[in-house]
Amino acid sequence: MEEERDKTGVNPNSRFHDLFTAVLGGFAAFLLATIKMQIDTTAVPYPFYKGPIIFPLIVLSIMVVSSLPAFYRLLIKPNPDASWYLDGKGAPKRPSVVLGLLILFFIFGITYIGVGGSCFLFLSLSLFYLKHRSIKTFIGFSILYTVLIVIVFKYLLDIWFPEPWILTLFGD
Amino acid sequence: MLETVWQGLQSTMSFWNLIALTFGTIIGIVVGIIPGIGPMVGMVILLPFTFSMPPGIALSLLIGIYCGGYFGGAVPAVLMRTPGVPSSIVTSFDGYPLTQKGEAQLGLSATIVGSFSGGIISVIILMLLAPLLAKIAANFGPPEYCMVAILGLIVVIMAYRKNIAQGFLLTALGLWFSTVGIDPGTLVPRFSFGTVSMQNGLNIAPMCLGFFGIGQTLLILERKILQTDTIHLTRSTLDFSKLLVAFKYKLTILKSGIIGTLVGLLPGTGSILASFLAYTEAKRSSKHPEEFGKGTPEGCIASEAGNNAVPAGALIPLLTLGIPGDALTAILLGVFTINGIYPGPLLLVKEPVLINTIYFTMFLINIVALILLALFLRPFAMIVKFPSTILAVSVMVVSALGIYSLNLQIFEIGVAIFMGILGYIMLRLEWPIVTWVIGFVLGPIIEERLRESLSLASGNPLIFLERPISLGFIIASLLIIILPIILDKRKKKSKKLFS
Repeated sequence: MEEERDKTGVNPNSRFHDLFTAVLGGFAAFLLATIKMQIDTTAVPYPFYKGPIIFPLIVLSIMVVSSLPAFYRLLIKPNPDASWYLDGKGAPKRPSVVLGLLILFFIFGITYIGVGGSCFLFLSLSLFYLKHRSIKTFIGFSILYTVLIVIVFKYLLDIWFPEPWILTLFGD
Repeated sequence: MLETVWQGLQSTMSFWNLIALTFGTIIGIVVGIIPGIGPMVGMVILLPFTFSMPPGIALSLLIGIYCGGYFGGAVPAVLMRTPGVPSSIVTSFDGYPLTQKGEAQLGLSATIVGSFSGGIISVIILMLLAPLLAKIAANFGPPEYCMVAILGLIVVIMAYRKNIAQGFLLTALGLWFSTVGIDPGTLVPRFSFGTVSMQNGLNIAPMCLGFFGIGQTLLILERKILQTDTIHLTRSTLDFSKLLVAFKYKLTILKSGIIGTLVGLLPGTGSILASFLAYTEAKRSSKHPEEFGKGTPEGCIASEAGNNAVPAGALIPLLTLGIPGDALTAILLGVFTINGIYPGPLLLVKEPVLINTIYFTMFLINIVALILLALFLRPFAMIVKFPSTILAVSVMVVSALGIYSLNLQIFEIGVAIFMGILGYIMLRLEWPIVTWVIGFVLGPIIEERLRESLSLASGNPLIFLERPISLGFIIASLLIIILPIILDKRKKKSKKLFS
């Protein structure tokens, strides 16, 4: 087992697999239990087999059944060799930070600082964090790419973006 | 008949179609060359932009990426023993030894000729086989369609039977995602959690872009897949005399192309199996099997002809039955359905021009890819030197804005990011995420056919057992589930006995 842990790759006894499976199965079980609240069939004149509930019922049941072995291993009888091993490739620090920046600038940022500002800040901060620290790369590339993106999306494809809040500060 | 063939040819040769297929092929080669990216990411990034295009042009663009990706994947496999797409690993068995011997040009010529020939052979088989299958499928009613779609799902799940519970779970998750939003049959909102945005349902573009595009790029950020400074090509173009040498292996080309197409026909089998089978068969029937693995162009040809025949093979069940065999064809199915075109036996009758356009486009894509790689080999190969992390964050920006541009909703960027997190976790856990996308795409088809079938029988589920073709599909599905489990158990038992 130790040998197995030293290697990278899938570990058949990883409890992470079971935990993630159980989370998805638990979510499906919650939806099944509350299905009447999720799908309002009171005004539907159709019989059950023609209605909107039959298919979700089947697929959610499959999800729950598929996750039962994971629940069993996780809660009742864990494998003695099992561990909280993921894949031997470390904690997801870089993806977490970049993902945080992506959420910050592309979900909240667009409305406050506009598409150009969001794009530039996301790129420059991400590249700086990812150790591309020469001015040419993290500033030069970010500006060039932002200009290209703005030209393509705003002017060539004529996509509407909300007016950034920051511009309203300066009036008309 | 001839008229529709002519119209298909005209449509293929139209200016915008030629632009789309050339651009798609270039993007395909680029994403294929970069290890860790692959044609799937290329397709999902461009997916939002295809929604405003006519279906023929949208499909040309995406099929260009699909086929171009396999062409491109062989280049780093030969030059650096790093396959651009997973199936090119087999190409590296002989391609890289050729490079070490100073015969990189021969190795690349062999892979490009193999890819080109495999692609052409498979398109010919597609043209011959699709009408035959469509004729058989023309007898299908809702129960048969429902069961053949379920059979397709089961074949894909069982292809990943080492993770069978996860396979079923992810397929069901994909099917569930497809139910979110207003039910088209009764107009009742489902699983909208009280939000208006969820009532519109979950669009395929943000779902797939998040799952595959953002998920994959997050993975690239931490794995530094692309690191090389060791590419040395003496010429910027391909040596054409070597191309002719590669064309000498006619029988290997033909056999590998046929094997690849047949493997592509089966849902869930994938191009790696096609490459391996074609390579093994070429080695078995070769006059010099001892040279395999030490650097023979025949090995490169076999593996590339095998994997490049898969796209056309996978289109056969897609066009005739509406069943996608892998994630890439599932995306194509999404493009069809968004444009109100439903693949199935009637597609060949209802949309003959579109079908002929697809055939001719696939021919042209193979020719364009061959020419592009032959003329611009070095510039394409140098793409591998581009830093992976810069590429990853650039892809994220295009993905986020591409999704926004679809419906001008920031909510959909949120959906994509959520799916990206899910996709990233599943990629790290090495779960069979293909099953999720096939479930998501087939969900509406299965649900509609299921409800139609039950309506036909006034709610009696025995209708699926009463109709012989449907019963046949049920038996086939059960056998596909049970047989491998029994065989695996027997193998384990015999291993125990020997040990």
